Amino acid sequence: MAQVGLLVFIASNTSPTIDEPAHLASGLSHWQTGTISSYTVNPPLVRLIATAPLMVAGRVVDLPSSLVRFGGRIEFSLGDRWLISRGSQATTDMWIARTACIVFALIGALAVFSWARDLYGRRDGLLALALWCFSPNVLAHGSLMTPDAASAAMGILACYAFQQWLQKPQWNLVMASGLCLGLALLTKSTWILLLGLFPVITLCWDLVSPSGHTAVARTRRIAKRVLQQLAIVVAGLFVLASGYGYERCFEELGSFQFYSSALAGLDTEGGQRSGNRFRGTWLEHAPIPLPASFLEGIDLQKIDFERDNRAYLGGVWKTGGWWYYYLYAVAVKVPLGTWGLGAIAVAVSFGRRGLGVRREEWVLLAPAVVVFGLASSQTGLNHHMRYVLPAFPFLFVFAGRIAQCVPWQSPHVRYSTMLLLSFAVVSSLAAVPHSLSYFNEAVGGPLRGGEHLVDSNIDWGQDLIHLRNWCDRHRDATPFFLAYWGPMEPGVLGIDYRVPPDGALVFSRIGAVSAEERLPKPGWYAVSLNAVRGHPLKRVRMTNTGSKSGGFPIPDDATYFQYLSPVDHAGYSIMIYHITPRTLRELEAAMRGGSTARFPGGSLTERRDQITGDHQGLVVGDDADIRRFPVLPPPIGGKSQ
Amino acid sequence: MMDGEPMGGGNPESPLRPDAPSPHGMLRWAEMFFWTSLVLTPLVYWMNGPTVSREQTYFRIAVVALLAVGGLSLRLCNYRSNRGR
Repeated sequence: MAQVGLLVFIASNTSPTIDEPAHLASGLSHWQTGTISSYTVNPPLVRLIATAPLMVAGRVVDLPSSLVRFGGRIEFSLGDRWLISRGSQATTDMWIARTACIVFALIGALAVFSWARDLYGRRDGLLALALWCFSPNVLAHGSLMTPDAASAAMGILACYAFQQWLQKPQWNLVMASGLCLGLALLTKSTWILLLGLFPVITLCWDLVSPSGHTAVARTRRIAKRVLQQLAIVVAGLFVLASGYGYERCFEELGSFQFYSSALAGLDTEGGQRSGNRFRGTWLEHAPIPLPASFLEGIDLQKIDFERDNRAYLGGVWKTGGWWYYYLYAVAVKVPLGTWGLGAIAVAVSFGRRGLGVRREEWVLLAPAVVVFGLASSQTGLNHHMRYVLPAFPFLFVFAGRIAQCVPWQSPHVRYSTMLLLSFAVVSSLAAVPHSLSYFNEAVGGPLRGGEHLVDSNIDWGQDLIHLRNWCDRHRDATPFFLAYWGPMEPGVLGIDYRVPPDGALVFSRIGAVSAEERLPKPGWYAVSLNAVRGHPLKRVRMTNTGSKSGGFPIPDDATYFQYLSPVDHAGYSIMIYHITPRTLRELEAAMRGGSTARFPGGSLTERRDQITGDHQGLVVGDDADIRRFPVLPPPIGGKSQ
Repeated sequence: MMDGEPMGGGNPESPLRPDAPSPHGMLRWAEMFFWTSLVLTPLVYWMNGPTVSREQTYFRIAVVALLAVGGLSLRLCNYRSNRGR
């Protein structure tokens, strides 16, 4: 109940985030057309459930005959069109869609509690349940209509059902496991790894199972296992195909047109843009037991990972990313209390006098390790910690073993455990309703999160509602300038604004242009954190939607705001600056004192190269070197962060 | 309130630990959680800095109020339960 209340509260205080309009519009198009083709990168279950209430209410999406493709994807153009057509009603529709998705968080809670209770007992189940329900990352993504929290929930449900079958190989559990596997596949294609992982786990499980049977009995048992394992996979694929309406299943592998290097077998720098590495091989005529859209979605997603996008970590922009990106992100975005509980659980498992890890727990840990390993190996798109969210519930269950391992009768142990749990919960609640921007206290909390991560980890365009509220309370804040990094046109919510001057002008050579022309005018400036940190996505979206009313009203460069200190915030992702004539004089002095080499992201020329280096809808960086943000001069004006 | 008495009841079905908590033990755990959280709240709020929206301000106040009311209610429940024993 507490989690439902929190999710509803957060959902109602969050404006549409970058991906959500695409999901919502595509979900409506699925219902309208009966096909999944408008959004293939993610499977359709979450979108279908989210938009079911809207479909019943008679909402439709305008489906043009042709849409502008964004890196081979049309869903973002569809989402932008939907946002424009719905105007201010978009936030209401979004809230309805998000509320429908809360069911996934509840399923996850049930699975986490059940698995921890089965493994360790009821108290441990409650501990794991609390970690799930109050995790800021689960709250953040569980309140959105994106597939991340849903995939975490359905993933652990699938693995829990599978583990039940491992312990009791009965046919009713085979069906349950197959159903849950299929539902997990329908939330996010990441879970395709379970099709390989489950047989491996079964093999290992039977290898370490106690023997003592006769050879005949053993052979019969193994044969039954193999048969049932096959049935689980077949049932899972059947459920997956059902979710796609049995659309284009069993197509020959050679008939696909792939775009990623991995599947197309092409050098992306060559002239060709598509192909199929399996044509002409013995696999060409192999029928694929997956819906064609599912496989095409994996191909499109793979393109994103192959492009070596620019990534940001710890104040550093880099082309290509880091293998430890997710470890770093989890380190700063998971509450310290949760870390403490997890550390004790690991210590009591692997310490010198540890209890070790039983095979039931290896079944629990294996999917988490594989998800983490898989995500970390794809360094081409280091933007979103949410990619490893599916690993979280498994680790919450494992952390629950602390109550099983420690000497519970000791009051010190009880107090320590309760202290860590309370710390985790209160720390998470302190950020509500801005849980998406949560950062733990070790790095200074959400106010300093931008020093470590950007994009959906802190700023996904979610705080426009809070900016509107801020403007309502500060009607005398004129002139008002806004650089908003998000999908929605701020004017739709009644925000009257002008776009701040571009950094190219602000940083133009001092002396060539007068300070009056070059520097921002005195007034109030609201700037998204991503814009301040120089996130390159904005230009891409503007170019491809071809419409400024699709959101992203940002100058090409707003990073000069790093020279200033905000006087207020609208959420953690939009900072408010008050520029006065005195501030301007100080800014001018600071910029005279520092050359453009001190400019974040390198020199101005390099910065322009970064911005204009987009290729077919996606930014491709032209340098592989690491540029560290310089130590900026002391912030000018306002209060310090 | 929190003496050395084990909070667990008995649950032989639990595969690893046979002392799953009784309903009474659960209530005492819940009470401990509420008081601990209430004590931690000012410190955590201070470490996280000022609020960034009115909704967050109201919510933070509501959390403190809920923890206090919850803690007091559970104290009352546990007091009555102890007297009834």
